[in-house]
Amino acid sequence: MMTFDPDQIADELSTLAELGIKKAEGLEEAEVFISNVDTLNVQVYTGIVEARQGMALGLGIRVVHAGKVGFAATSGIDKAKIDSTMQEAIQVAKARPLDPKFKHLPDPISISSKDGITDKQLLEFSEEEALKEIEVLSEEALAYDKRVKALNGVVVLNKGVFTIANSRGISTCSKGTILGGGVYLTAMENGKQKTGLEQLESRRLVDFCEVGSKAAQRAIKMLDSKPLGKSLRTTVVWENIAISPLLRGMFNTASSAQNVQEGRSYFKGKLNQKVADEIFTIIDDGQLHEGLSTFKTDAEGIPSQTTTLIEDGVLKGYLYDSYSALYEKRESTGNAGRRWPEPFLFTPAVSTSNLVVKPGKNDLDGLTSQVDEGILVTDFIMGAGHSNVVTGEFSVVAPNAYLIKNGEVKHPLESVTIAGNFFHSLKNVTEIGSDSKITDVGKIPSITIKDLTVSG
Amino acid sequence: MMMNNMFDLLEHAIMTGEKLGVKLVEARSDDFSIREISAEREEIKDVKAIRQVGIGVNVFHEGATGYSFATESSKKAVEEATKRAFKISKASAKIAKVKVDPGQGKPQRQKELKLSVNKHPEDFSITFKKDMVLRTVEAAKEHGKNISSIACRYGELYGEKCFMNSEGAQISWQPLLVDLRIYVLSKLGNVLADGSDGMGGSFGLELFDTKEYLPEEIGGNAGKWAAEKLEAKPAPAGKYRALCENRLGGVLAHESFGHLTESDFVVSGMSPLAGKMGEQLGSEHATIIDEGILQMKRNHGFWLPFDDQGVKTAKTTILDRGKLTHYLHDRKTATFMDSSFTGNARAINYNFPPIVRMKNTYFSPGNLSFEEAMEQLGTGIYAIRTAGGQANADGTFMFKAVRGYYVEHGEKKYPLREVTLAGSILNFLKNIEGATKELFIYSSYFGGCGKGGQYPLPVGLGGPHLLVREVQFGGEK
Repeated sequence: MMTFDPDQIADELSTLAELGIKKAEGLEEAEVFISNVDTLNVQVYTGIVEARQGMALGLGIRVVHAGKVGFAATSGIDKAKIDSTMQEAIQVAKARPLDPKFKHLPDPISISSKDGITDKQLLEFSEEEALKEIEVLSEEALAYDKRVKALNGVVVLNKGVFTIANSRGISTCSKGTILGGGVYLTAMENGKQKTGLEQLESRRLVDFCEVGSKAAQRAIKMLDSKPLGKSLRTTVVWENIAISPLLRGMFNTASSAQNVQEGRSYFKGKLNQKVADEIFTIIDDGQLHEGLSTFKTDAEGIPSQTTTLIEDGVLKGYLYDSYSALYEKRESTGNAGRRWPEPFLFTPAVSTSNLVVKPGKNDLDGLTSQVDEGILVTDFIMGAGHSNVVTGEFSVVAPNAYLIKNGEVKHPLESVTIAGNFFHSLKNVTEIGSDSKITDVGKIPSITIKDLTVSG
Repeated sequence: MMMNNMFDLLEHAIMTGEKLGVKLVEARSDDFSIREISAEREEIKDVKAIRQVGIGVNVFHEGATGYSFATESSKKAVEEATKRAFKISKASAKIAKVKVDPGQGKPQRQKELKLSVNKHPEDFSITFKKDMVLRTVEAAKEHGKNISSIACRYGELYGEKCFMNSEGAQISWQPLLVDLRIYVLSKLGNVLADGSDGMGGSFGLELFDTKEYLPEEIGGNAGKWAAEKLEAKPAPAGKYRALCENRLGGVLAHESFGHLTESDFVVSGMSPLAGKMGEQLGSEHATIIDEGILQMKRNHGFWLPFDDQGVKTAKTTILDRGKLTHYLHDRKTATFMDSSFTGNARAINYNFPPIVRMKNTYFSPGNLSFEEAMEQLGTGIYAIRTAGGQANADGTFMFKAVRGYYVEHGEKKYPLREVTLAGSILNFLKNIEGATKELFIYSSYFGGCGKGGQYPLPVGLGGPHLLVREVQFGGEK
């Protein structure tokens, strides 16, 4: 049986990438990106088990021809595919107009950097163990309460290696293994149907025994929901996992130097200005040891770094890939990303790595106890992806929300809609929790924001 | 990779699986060529050329399934994938509380099935397609006003899908999808207004030679509509009778109703439609169909002759004059629920096993002309297309129509800015009062369906214009 040995795969892929660069001699510039991601995905749907495992291997090549960049990609890899993909990339370059913003592919930068935590135990985590975890997780959930009727549980193990070589001397390789598990379930009573979600992701071997019961607890609580029955401007306490996707969507766009240059960022022209309440500090930490998006380099082979975006409420910096950095004659912050699990299919684009919000002193209970009147939003929100990331306008639906009165969390609410402007809201952050949670967004605590429109 | 070689490889997977003693082996290959061009105004921003080739093996063993895949086209890789799939299925069988059975298939033998088109995208250069994009942008500029930005995209997908199983099926067919779309943003003072248009489906590039879908027409519409919206008023909040345009109705059929009929949700008990078979859920004017092969020339859509379990796609009436008549199935859910196969087992590519997905989902047309529908609408809102929204597992939804008109006594009075429709799909279905005669189905490369991490899967959605009473509009401060 073929096993996934990251070190051995890293050597093989690096050799192929180097070979690709040799083949590109005679071209103005070239970059070969190769990735191999082994995915083990085990799911259970109320008793039905579905499992898959396989390796997605492939290469993406960027070439510069007559000053223009061309990109082509193919799945699988051999010498013939390197040739044909390179030819295709040249054709693409020929069809493109000259981009005056493009200078050249990145040069090597010498900053020391490393991959995130590597847990040897994860490399040996088998499908039997994944299935065992999912069995426990779903049994815990169903045993928690009879009203839990349906569930979808998942355990995923991703082992990835990517390597980049370019004709300007970059030659790097990054590795990472991540284990994740979660459950989304439905509780039913008297025709009322409510959902609960809980998930856990880590670079270390973790067990998921509490994930099932926590999700069940979340859904069961919601069965007592009552309609809010009005529309008001009020304070919203966002649980860490509820706010995380909204944070990423907004910062991914607004902190991108390319968007700033092209006029699509709310943060354009606001450097060193106050953009948030002074308790708000956020960094992009590509070197967060336990972060899920921590690699030695970014997707162009630039060392991953730590960049302060907002410090004590003041806008401090933007995120750069080499394209946006070279345009400003500065160095990349190592924020070129390509989308998983088949990154070879994508051209690099500016993206956040691990967003880390500086935590406060109180846990979630501490946050709600400070609120006279407001709502608490837990689990996940819907519609974050439909926000206007340029202006910051958002309107999301929270299926799991509670009323807060005089510092006490009262009854759960029927779905409420929360609307506002994210960037204006940064100035309305009144408290930050101590309960930072690792997700694919980064490491984010719960956050209290005043003056949002809530209706339901 | 020649196709015959591909069948040799798939055959090897079948043999390997049979030797291991599994109940059913399904082996398939996906070979896709993908091109994407994106422009901002007349500046070409990105051009992508992708070739995705891989093999996937699905096995049924002791009441469980296992799936594995490989991006290497060698006998060794296929053999290893099959062994891995077997190993996973064996481990899964130990914990599966509900056993699954693929039932008995009717093995099909059809090779090299394809649509006949005049201008297959494979035969046209990137430069040709780039020019199409630039023509679209040019038209938008010409017909727009106070334009602040323009984004235009072209995408295509074509290739070959091969399928074999241990029952003897041997199928290959050639998927095809082209898509051209544009988004225009106009700005006047503090007022922002957008306009968009696009067309896609299983066609050659001759689609964009037809009068309605010329790049000039598509670009011109987007520019014109953005300009019109600069003058538009906000939609009044409250309950109104509505006329929902074809694409908007299609999105509702797919997002808020279709997903609830997917039998994996039904079997697991997640769907509110579980146990409701035969119930009257909608009015007599509410009929929803899911289909693989349409009258492309007349109705457009995405051409899907077989699903990824080698099942011939059926024309399935899921809602018949308001009554729930069918769920959508893969082989195992159909067998589990004792239903006929509907051909809804689909995978986006070799990375994934097939799961229950929709094909082309649409409301059936009625007998009204557009004029009659407007007259019956009387006073209300004409809501057109959608740029997205949210449909929940409990049937509630919130969609933003891209454009709209306030209508009084059957006459368009003034254009509307963003129009938000909200409510519950079951109420919506009950409130359908009629439908127009025409049937239009839209499919797109960029805006496919997402489920279980598989996005964007090409689907078709559409229908006629739907006349619906008591639709909740507004809802945002």
